[in-house]
Amino acid sequence: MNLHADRRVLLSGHPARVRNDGIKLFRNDENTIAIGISGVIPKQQDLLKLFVISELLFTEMYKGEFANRLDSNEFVESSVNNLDINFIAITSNRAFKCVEGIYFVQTDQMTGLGTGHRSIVACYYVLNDIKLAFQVSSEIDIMSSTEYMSIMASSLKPFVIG
Amino acid sequence: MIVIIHRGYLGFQPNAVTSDVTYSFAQPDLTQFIDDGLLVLPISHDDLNADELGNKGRILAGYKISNFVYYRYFHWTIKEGASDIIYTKLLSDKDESPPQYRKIALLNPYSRSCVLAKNEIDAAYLTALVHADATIEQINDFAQEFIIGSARPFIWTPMDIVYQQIKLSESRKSNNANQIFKVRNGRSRWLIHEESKIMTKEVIQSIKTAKKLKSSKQVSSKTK
Repeated sequence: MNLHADRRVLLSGHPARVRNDGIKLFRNDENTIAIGISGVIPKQQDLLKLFVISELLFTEMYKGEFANRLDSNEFVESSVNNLDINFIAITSNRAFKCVEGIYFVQTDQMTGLGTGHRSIVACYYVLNDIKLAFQVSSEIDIMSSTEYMSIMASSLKPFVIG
Repeated sequence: MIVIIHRGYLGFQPNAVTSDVTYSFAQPDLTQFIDDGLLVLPISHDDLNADELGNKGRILAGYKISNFVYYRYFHWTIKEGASDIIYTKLLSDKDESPPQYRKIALLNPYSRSCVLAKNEIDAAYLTALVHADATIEQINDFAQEFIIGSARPFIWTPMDIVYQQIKLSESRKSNNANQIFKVRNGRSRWLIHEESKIMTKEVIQSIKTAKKLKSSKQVSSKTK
């Protein structure tokens, strides 16, 4: 379960500017959790909140209490809903996706977030190569670029409860 | 219904069975959609006054083209030796008057593939698959695994075989053939869309019969 993200970002302001050196993937300080952000990149304090939320959810996940939905934690829901951020979080062997406050535990099927993620998923399904998938996808989606970055699950330390 | 032209094949994915689907799943091939030199595949047969969430088709022909309009039919016509692969686009959603259609060519020398889907998400996935030069087996597997459209495998037919089938049906056409789909006969087209959402041979025949009766009545009223 590796995280990949292209580096094209749309800067706010008028006129809008597009840059190909954005960062959408982040690791926590312990290097046990990685997060990929869709949409507006959060501020530092909001990013820290995301890691706290992810740690809570992964703890529950590792305890085996959640099957495929994690929308029963009121604290987490209100926190993330205020942030209005869609993201994907991974550990060395688990992953979940948060879309509009609803969490989906991921299996081994590829998934994505953001503009053009469907193109990436479909291209990777055919090509089985992430670099080629981004190249082909960038030809049909103007908001995807060939430049991408990755955080491999194997580069994360094991997530330990407690 | 989703229609794809890719790698020299025409693929279509039947919808889930609904009340207005009349084709047979026992032998879901293209011949039941071919008559009088014309192949008609319905892309979207929903009501004209549709909501914003559904009933929006998207055409993606290997490069980015997207228009949020109401796509109706995929047409493949053969007339006088020429072969036209087009889709018809509804220009007016006002039901007081017969709908105005515009025909737009689907294939050109620069693009030999296209995707026609009612659902924007399905169209996005399938366009990427086509652009990545997926095999038809991969497209079928992806459609079932990722629940594209009705999640059924596509039915693929080589385009040259489709052409032969259409050509064969053209040689048997009657004098009233293709009148139904001509713009100047908008009323008939409107009747078709109102009375049957799916073009079948039986419907085409019933419309022809109705036209014959109407014309015979007009002739008899003039002679009185």
